[in-house]
Amino acid sequence: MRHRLIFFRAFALNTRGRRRPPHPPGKARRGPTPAKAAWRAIFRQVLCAALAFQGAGCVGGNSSPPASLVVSPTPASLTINPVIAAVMVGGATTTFTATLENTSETIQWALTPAVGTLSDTSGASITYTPPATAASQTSVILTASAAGVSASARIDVTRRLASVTVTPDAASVRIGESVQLEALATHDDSSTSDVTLLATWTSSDPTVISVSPSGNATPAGLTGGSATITVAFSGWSATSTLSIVPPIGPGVDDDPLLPQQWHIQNTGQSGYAQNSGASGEDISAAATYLAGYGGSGVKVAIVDTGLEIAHEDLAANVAPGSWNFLDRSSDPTSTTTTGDHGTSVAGLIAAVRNNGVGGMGVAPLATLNCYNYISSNQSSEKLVMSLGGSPANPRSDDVWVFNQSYGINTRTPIAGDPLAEAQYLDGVTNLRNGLGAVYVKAGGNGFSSFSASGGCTGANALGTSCQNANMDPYNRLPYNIVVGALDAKGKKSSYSSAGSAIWVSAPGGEFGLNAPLCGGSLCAANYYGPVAYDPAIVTTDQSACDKGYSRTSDTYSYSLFNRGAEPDGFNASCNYTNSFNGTSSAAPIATGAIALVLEANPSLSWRDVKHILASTAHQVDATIPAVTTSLTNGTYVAELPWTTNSAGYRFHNWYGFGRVDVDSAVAMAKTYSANLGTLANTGWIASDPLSLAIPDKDAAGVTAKLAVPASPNLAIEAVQIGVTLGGSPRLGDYGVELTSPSGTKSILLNIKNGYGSVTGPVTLYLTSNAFYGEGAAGDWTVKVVDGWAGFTGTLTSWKIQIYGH
Amino acid sequence: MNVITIAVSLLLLLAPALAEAQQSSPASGEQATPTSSLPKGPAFRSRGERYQVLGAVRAVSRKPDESDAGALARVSAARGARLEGKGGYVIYRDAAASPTATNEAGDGATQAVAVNAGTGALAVLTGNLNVRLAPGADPAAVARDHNLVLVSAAPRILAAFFRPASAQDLVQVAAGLSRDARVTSAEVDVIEHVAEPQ
Repeated sequence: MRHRLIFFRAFALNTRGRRRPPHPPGKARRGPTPAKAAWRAIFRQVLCAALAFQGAGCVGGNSSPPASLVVSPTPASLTINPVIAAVMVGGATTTFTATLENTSETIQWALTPAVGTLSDTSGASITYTPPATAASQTSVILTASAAGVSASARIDVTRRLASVTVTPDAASVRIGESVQLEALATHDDSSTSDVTLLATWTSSDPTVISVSPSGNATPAGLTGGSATITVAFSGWSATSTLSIVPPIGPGVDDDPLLPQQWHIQNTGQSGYAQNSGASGEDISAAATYLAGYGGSGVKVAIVDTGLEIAHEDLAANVAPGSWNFLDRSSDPTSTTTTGDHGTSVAGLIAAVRNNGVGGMGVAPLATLNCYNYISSNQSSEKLVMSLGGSPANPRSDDVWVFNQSYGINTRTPIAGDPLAEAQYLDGVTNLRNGLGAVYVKAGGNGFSSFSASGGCTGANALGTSCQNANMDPYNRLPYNIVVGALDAKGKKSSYSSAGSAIWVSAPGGEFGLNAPLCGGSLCAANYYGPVAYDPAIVTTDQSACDKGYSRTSDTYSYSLFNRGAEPDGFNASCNYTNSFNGTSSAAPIATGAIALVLEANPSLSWRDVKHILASTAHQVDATIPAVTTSLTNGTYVAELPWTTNSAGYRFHNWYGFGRVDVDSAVAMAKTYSANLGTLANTGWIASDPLSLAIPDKDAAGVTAKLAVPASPNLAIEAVQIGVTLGGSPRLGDYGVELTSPSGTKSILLNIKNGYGSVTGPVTLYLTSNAFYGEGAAGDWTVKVVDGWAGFTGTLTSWKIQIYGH
Repeated sequence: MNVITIAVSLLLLLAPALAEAQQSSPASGEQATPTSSLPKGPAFRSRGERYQVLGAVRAVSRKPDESDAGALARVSAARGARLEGKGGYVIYRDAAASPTATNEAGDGATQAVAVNAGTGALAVLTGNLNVRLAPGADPAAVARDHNLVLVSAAPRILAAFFRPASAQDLVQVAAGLSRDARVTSAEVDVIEHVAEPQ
């Protein structure tokens, strides 16, 4: 056998006596040069002669040996164990063993640099002794070599270990999330080393919290609890005490009305109404609540009619800072006896959880303020003070989210209060340490009718919104998140005003009545329509049975629950109602969702929040068709179906970007990375004077273009237009469309809308969110259509302003 | 709570023909109170709209839980004098009222009323003056120099809100403020459009 090994070594060496480098993978091996081929032939003949002497032969060539005598050279190999070792200065010795195969030469050992000592410089096994002292941590290479092959090991020589610590030594961890623990070794010279990956990690109770070999700790179950995580390294150990953030919400909390709060978790329950909803049509917050998010650390203000600050299901979440404009006190409790809107709004945001009474707010760990602007004699001053402009009485400048469950019902185009608009701008610019307060606003309840005088028969017959969300001047501001309402079956609530100013939708419910109390069909036939018995929203009400929406004496209430007479007895105190509804309900539910998002990531700006909501909203009523009508010159699309813009965002005038999806929004918030940069706007870009007669009741309408410059090409966050009409237009006739340079169309005002008649010139200001994310530059086209016979007008000019980044 | 919507729905269901007529006709603004025959006082601009103070009309602020009739009785006005509600105010006929932009003080206080020259809608003068100040201006000094009470200020938006210290014509006071170099703009505060619960 020996000669075979020698032959192998001869093959393994090139003609210069060096080992041939391995052939690169994937690279063709070159053939030998003619000179090399000649030498190989000579070598081969010598080799074959030697083999022939032993009775063997060669393969190939002119004197091939028998196949049974093919040489299969076996390479020498050398391995060393261990290949990595960590030793301490002045610490114990470490033994290294080298194994040489296919040869029997003596193994030689060398140390580079010469830090520490070896027990011997040759032999199969040696021991390494670390130095007694060292100036700094170092690594030493121990090399074993024999028969022309070698192997090496790395020895990390560290200072003497003084302690091991784990960071954090105590922490909370949420279900669905994990916490990365880090082990730090401190040496006798106070230097430190991260030994997280070298240490051993164990959990005191892996069924509660497990820990990976790399120190990543994760709740193992779906309930609360705690565990001690121990890290061990070189005889030292340290511990970290981890507690699971307790889950909240459905299935966990002891709130008797929570199972009927379908907006939180829709199981197809009725909310004490006659009819039931559809399972799953809720705000999708299960994972968020399981992780224990409840809006902690988020202060929410309701700008509303009042807030019963001593209410049993609210008091614990009411923070100092509320204000009563009526008596200039810090207690905005309403003295009305027929229901306090604000108290019900407040419960939807932050009713106390797990307290054995009532239900739960969407963000039950958030804190509440109220400024009763709505029930006061409203003024610019009170509005500015309520929207963040006041450091005291009220204290509104520390609010994170403002909920505005109100709106202006107007039949004529109006502008907003410039001071209020300045305050909105200030709020998004300066509050929350410059991240901006988040303003949430109800879209309106005027789809079928609204309180200002005037009819809605045209819109009702057509199936479009009589009141457009754009009619309220504050809905047109990019600072507001305008919210539409959804019923318990996941479609638009019957009353919810539509319009391109809507940002998202949230549950708002219907009317929540009980048919027997209506004498059969009375409610549906006369008062509320067929949705009378569909679920409304269960929330807080003024306390006691002699005031509020729930009153035992109110025989005009068609809700058994509101009469305090529901068999389960959960509203015997009349402190709750099951008939709250409106975009007044949808807005605070969205507000609560935003509080959850901000708890998950308090560093989000107000625009980040809008971006997250738009990006994660759930598309509802996906197959809703376009609304069309026949006008002169053809069929006119009076309301679009869902459209997807060129940036990939889906939008519908009834729903905005869709229903708030809490779990998706919170998940995006936790890993948020988008950079929206600085909000900019193009300023108003106006047309030259026009004189375009709008043909009466004609689908063709009139169109006009405006070019938005190519630089800067803003990524759109909102588009505002002003359309000026001359003559004596009946504004209710007109539909206004806008088409972007990318070809996306948005209807900003529906034909047969709820506006009345005015004498021109009048400028309609309208906002659309449908172009979110598209590029602003290029030609924009406005189209104005007169959808009703009579009262013709003229398009005399228009202008556009784009907000974006 | 959508109570108002419910009420309007009932009205429309009971009188569809009326509703059709309202939609189809060139109906004007939000209210039908005739004002053309009322005496007119000074004109002013506020929130981009043009107003004119009315005579023979005043407004009274309701107290919490006070009915319209109760508020009217408090100012010795007949129940039938009511023209319309405007948020927390009741606007009523008062033949003796002169067309001045002067608000009263005290339990029987009444407010001046103006008409929007564009829409014909009524608006109540809240008694406040909405002022935008020049940067660095001291609102307290402005108040002192114009015999005003500083109601509150929002320094970041350079806004200050004043009331006359005594019964003064608000339009004239606003005009005086507008001539002050420390003031960027001064407007009489009105409430024409009321924010309502949705």
